[in-house]
Amino acid sequence: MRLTVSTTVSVAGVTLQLEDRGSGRPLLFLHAGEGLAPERPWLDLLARRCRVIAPWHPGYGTSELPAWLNSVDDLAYLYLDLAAQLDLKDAVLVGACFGGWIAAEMAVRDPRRFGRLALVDPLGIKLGGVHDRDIADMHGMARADYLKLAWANPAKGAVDYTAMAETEIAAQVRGRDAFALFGWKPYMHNPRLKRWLHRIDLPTLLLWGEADGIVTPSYGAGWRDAIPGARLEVIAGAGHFPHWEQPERFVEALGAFVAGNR
Amino acid sequence: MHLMYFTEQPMSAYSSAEGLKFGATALVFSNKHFDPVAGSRLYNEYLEQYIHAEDTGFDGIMLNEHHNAPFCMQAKANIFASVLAGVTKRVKLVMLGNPLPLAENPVRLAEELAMIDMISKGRLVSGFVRGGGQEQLATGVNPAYNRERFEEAHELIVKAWTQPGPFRWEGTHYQHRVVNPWAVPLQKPYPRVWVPGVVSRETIVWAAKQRYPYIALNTSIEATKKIWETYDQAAAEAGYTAGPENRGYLQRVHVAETEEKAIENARQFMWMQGEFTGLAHPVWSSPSGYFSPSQRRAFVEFASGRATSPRGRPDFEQQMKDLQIIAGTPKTVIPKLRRILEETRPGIMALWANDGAVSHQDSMTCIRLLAQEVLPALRETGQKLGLNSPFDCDAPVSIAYSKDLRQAAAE
Repeated sequence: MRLTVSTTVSVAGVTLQLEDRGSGRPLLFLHAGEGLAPERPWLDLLARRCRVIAPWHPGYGTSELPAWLNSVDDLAYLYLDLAAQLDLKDAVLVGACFGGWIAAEMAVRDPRRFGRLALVDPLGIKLGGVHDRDIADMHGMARADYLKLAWANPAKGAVDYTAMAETEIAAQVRGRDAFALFGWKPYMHNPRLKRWLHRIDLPTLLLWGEADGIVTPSYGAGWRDAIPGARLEVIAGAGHFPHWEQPERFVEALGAFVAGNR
Repeated sequence: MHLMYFTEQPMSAYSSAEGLKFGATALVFSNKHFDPVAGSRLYNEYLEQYIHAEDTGFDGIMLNEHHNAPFCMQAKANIFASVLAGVTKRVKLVMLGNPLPLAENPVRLAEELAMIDMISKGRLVSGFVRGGGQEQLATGVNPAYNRERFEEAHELIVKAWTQPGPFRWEGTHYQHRVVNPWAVPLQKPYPRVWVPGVVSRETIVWAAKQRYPYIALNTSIEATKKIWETYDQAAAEAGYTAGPENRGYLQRVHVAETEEKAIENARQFMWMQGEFTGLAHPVWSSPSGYFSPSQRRAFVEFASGRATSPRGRPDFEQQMKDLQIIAGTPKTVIPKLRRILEETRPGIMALWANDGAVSHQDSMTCIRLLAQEVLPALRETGQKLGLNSPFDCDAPVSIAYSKDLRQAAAE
């Protein structure tokens, strides 16, 4: 994990840290509950095709987390403000996992700055009944069990914490704390969101890791059915984080969508 | 000294083989293993033991609560406190305590506690706790708000106890159109609040700032001394000098007629620690967001395999050697308990005497021997060491009711 960030910007009184790489059509990428991990190859691969703007969510890494900022609503408005402040036009809005939830909350509110929406294994909606667990309880399981659900190849997701600097460990745990803060209850979803997904009038792609055990491809089908005209595309050999586990396939699929080829 | 009796109220009547097979005995270990017939018997035995503790000479009964776990049968400490308020006459009912962050309506807690105080004719000590990490999972309360909810609920309860209603409360976590409970505590300004804990520095400092006694739960002698250093420093900053009346200590101690019997029964203390049944998964005790930054590091290091668990426990023999567990006949345990008093200097002492599957009969014997033979010796030592309880020296209930504070500005 790299703790240096490329730039900071002040939005709605919050100092946001963000990665800003590449050039061309702007692509706002909202990261997963696990974090941004900008040192992994996916970000540079994506930056070859467009200008990637990827903020660290407040509370992740070394980013500021004001006491008042504690809901996904806050994050949605914050990033809508960011898009306005950066004067984004016809941008691509992409969110993975937790970031997908935030992106959907933004899209039902105000799509003006965006031309396309891609949700990658998003959390955020409730499909099943009271006894159904749509979203795996990431906060109530051992790390090894989590990796088995989140990765097609769990060994690829394993992190050697013993080799990690203390500051980096602290930064990672900070992110996990923030993830719990935003999504503990109701667990990682907004009970009202599904009802308003019909408002999304952007071409929408749902990208899903074939082996995702955190939110399964059938949960992805539920998202697809709720967003008018949305398409679901499954990425082989990937779990909950296709952009990390299959960066080439991920960038290929997303790039084609951004270019309007599919 | 204030000397009180404690048991976790273990629900030991289930198949430990099932626990071992499942690999844990908490949170999601199915309650199909709970036998209400045994549960009913055990509740009534525990009640009989508490009454025996009063009859034989204990000053107080310490109560606690946990959820989704066999190691503690009390799902609501207020229930047992209510029963004891009616059936006992003299002992303090020391609740350590109500987990405030788990409460959705702290005003209800204020009412229940006021009722217990009135029914018991002013014998309530109303301890408050944050609740262990696992309790946050068992009740679904966001652990990231644990401390905020603890502090806001405390403020609301104290206000409900001390300020005439009606008043309005529109807080961050609690909203009440009208706070005006028609049950207020008998004790004035309000029942004593004691705060138990194990590891959290923030809680020690908070208790010291409130001038609430802190009860160290069977921490090692070394760790306990560090706790008092932290407490004393925060007390000095708040303008008072902390003493034994601000300090409590919980000690595991089992006595029997013979050494052999005592040691055999004391092994049951390991039952709760998971030697027999696995207990909880570490993930459940440290959900994301529950820990403060100072705590987080220790658990991360543990989770990453760099360090042993900050709550890791040595084996039975080592714990006997370190006096974490004391067992024997009254004659052999007294010098060891004296050493604990000399080292930790508490004005409040809880004796955690029976655990696991210790029989009702042995529990009753243990209580009788402790009360008749051990407590007098501890009182004598306490007197010699000047270990006054908050009752002995009429300590102020909280910082707000202190008349001896040094003015920081004047110094």
